[in-house]
Amino acid sequence: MPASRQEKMTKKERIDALLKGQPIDHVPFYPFVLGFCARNVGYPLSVIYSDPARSWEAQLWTHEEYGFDWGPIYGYASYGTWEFGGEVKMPQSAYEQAPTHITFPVQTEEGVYRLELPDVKKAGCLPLAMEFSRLQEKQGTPITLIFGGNFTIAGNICPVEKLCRWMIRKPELAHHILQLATDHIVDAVKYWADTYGGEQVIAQIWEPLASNDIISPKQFETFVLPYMQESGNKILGMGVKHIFYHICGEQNLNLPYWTQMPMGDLGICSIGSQIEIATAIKHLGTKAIIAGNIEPNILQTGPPQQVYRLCKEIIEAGKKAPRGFMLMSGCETPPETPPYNVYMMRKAIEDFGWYD
Amino acid sequence: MTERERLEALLNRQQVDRVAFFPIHGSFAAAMVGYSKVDVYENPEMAFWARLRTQEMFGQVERVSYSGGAFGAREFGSEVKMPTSEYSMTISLLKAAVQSEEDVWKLKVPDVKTAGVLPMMMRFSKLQAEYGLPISFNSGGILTIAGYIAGVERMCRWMIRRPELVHKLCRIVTDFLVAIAEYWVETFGPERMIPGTLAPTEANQIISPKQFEEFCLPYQKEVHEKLFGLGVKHIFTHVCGEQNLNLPLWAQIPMGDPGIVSFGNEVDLETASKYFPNDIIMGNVEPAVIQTGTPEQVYELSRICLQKGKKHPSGFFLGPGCDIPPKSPPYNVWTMRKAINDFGWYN
Repeated sequence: MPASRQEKMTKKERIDALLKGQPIDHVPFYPFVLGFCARNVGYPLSVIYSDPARSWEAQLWTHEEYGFDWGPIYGYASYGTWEFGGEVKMPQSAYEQAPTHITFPVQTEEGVYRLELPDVKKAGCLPLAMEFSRLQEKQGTPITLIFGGNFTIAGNICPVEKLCRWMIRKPELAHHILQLATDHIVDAVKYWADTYGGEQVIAQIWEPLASNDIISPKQFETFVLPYMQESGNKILGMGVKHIFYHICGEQNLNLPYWTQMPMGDLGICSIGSQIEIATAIKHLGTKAIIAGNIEPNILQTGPPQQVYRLCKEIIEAGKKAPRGFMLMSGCETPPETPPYNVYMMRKAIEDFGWYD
Repeated sequence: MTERERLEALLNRQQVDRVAFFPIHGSFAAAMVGYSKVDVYENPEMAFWARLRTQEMFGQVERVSYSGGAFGAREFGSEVKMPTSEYSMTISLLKAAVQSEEDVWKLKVPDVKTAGVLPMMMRFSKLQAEYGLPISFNSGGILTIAGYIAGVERMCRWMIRRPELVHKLCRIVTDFLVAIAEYWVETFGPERMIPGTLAPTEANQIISPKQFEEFCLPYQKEVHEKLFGLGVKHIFTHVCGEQNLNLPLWAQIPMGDPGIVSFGNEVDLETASKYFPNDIIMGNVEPAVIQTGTPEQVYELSRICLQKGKKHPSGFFLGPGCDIPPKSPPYNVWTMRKAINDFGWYN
């Protein structure tokens, strides 16, 4: 869409400056859009996850059309199942959005101790992710490696209901899986850092299963915080400068722990619509760029006026973030979102997102 | 220039900075805003906002129109089918009002204030007036409307075997269209009117140029002349489908000062330019390619249209060759706009 005011920066300049904590011309528009891009260009939704070249193309074209910043990304929330030996299904039906589990690598207690760390050069979607990152490198967009968070990977290795029961009754099993998930994250980031150089890599960690809809803050403190601190410190030790955490869903009670996560300088924290932007700034604003948090449900089913009003409120709140802010959906933009509602987000940036 | 200024300038035969992007979208607009296809035909408010928002999103000229879908069918008592299935695009004819020769002789011009979709069309026009947009209503095509009254196959048989019946149908359609024009002009004044003559059934895939000359030309000409007599200045005419052999006949119909004449992809824009040197021409990226082609194909077709259309002395709009199919990828439509950015500027 044509800019209402003259942009003073290219997308790359804007994101580079944002990550360095420098001033930028307007609030960036972060692309938490995957399946929507396939729909937007007429591709089957599954190619976003199964065909890196077409996924790249679909995202790049869609970003161009709606004025997204950053660059295309590759990843999905059920990460971990396929990589540890389970099976996932690519989205096929009209109501599917992303890959889903078919079989989990672990079903029994004995299975936990038989688990082995996968070879990150061959496991699951990682070869596809690596192919995608080569495109990111070639085109000069951020090399973003996306995982489920430590707890989310654990909940994708064994069914999350089972993991929750083990946290109470057999915590040693839960700890064993979480340690494997943590080691796997570190292994994979090391592979990326070795390939592209640590400074070029941005690790992006989506943590939906650790939300308070599933676990308590006390469980977060015991089963998430130490593992994420361990992987975070090791990732930063490889020269990675930024870790991007997607704090998905209802995690207000976890925020005091998120402040203790290593995230680099600067970190990036995106939040679900359940957390107020002002609350996120209060907890995380001094060490991270805040990103968020238009409710995906409203994006898909709400009228454009509601989307626009919500964006205005969120942009105005986000612009107060001391280390910067990006507008995005509170979780992945649903594939069936009316295109005009996505256009409304960009329009709101044009109307309210400029820094004077 | 703003989109509004660009349209105004073209209609006043003034220079514009670049080619404007002309919207033709009904059910595609529904998909862009999350409405059902039925909504944009049966609810004037939703029809208006879907089209206006889609026009805004793709940076198209500020002109939206509403033809009701299968226009003529319900107004004369035909039964229609709503576009409820995955593969339907617009309202279609289910059972024609005229089934026999006797039915033709019994036909009367309906009350244009109450018949069929006309009350919805009037509501739509009131929204156009409220938002300062050009006001539209239907001004043809004669045979397209007659086909919705009697069924196209039956009408075609009668053209050969009982031409007097088709002439009677065309006479009634002509009087009906003039009555609509009088009602609209009486309500809004003629100044901001851009009525639409939409003529798919007139295509040479259905009728011969000789049949066009006999059954369409005199009646369509009469409607347009009466509109100009009422003070209307511009008519949008969509010469739909394969009509190369009809072009010398269409050129005998006054289109306005200037008119806007849009063509299907079957007509070369350089040919169109020769027949309509004093009108704005519009077209004509193939809708099937917009729906199923690659963005590169759409971009290339748009580039070729722009290259040819920009040479036309009275102005050019880039647009689809017909209604944009509802399942067209939005990016393909955006690609047309991108081609304008890259090739559409006048030096």
